[in-house]
Amino acid sequence: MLFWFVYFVCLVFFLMAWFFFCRNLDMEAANFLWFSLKKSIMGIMFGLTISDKFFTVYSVTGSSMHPTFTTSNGSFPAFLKGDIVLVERFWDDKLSHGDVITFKSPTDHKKEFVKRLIALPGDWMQCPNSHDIVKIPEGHCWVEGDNRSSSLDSRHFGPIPLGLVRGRVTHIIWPLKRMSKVERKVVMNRVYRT
Amino acid sequence: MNDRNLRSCASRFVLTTRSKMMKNLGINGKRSRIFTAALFCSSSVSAAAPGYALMAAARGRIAAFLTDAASRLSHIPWRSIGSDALDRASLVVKAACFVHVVNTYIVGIAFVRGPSMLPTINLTGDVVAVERITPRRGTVEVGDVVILISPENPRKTVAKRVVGLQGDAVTFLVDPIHGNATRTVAGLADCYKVPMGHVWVQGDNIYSSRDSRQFGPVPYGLIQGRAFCKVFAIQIY
Repeated sequence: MLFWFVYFVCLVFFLMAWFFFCRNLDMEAANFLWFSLKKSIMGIMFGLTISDKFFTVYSVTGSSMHPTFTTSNGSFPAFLKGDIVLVERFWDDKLSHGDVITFKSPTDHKKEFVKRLIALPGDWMQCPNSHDIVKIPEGHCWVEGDNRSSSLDSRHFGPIPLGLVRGRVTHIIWPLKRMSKVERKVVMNRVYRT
Repeated sequence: MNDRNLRSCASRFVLTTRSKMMKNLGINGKRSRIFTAALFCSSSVSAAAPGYALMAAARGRIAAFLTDAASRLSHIPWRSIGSDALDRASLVVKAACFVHVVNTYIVGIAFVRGPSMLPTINLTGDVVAVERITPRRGTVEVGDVVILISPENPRKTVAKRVVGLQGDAVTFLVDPIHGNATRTVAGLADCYKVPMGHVWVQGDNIYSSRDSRQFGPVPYGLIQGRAFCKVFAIQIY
């Protein structure tokens, strides 16, 4: 989870802005510190708002979405070896089958997972390892990772409430040779939509 | 009909008249030239007198208006207006960011109504102050009133009281209107506890509340805030 990127970028943006202004301002040291403090606080608030409402940047860890995303081990600077993705926040309920979404884990609210959305409320779907057909209850959805063998998803913790879903992954932005749009992959044979 | 057209018509008329005059009446030389000039002036003015005069007047007025407007526009201080507008817009954006950050990370306001939390919260609605720090740190305790996103409808937020945390055993009246049957979520077997990462919520008014007794334990991530203070009690009888 690397959303500090956005704050840092916004902070850099604001620091550049005041650098630009500072050239024709004479300030003593205290004034200068106060000025830079104000600009940094503004930058942090601006970055937080953008990250909560519009889009943010995550670094993917864990191998549950292989081969869609390659991974890293999350610490600086090793996360630069893995994929960094652009996550857009929702303004409305337009979730579609096959979207890659991020959601707060139902078993630990501090962790956020990235999986693919397989079924929406009201759909009937076949559980992967058994022959049962379950109906996804109202307000819930079924998520699964692309890499079946090492993915902790709805096969373990069941359908998740839609209130936990935080965003949709739209693009991979790093490394540059893997920069691309993340496509929707719809699973045709297991889900019966109503 | 524009000027040039009129003029060409008039000049053609004059020339044909002049040739006819010269042929038929024998007027030529200086007298004929004076005569043609007079004819020309009179013909061009009389042939198009109303239209031509009006058009010229209109064109003159439009030209005067345009030059006047151009000079007035160039005197408007566009640059300072632009920078003023940008300042105000950035002030609005900064205020919106501040409000969002405070509302999401520190404290917010919620309007709660409904019968499920009587007598704590009024039927017709109360305004409560909701703090966001405790749920984010994970220190919600049993007995807190929390605001959470309903697991049955992600667009609805509900207020309920936390009765059990993860790992707890919760005993509750299943349907208090129709008898005293109780159930216990938990037991000695591990798999019946409130699961990890979940909480058990119930409304204070168990006779008319839709809560964990119907939709099961709720993931902790759905909790949006903890209500700690009633700001404004609306009492409508």
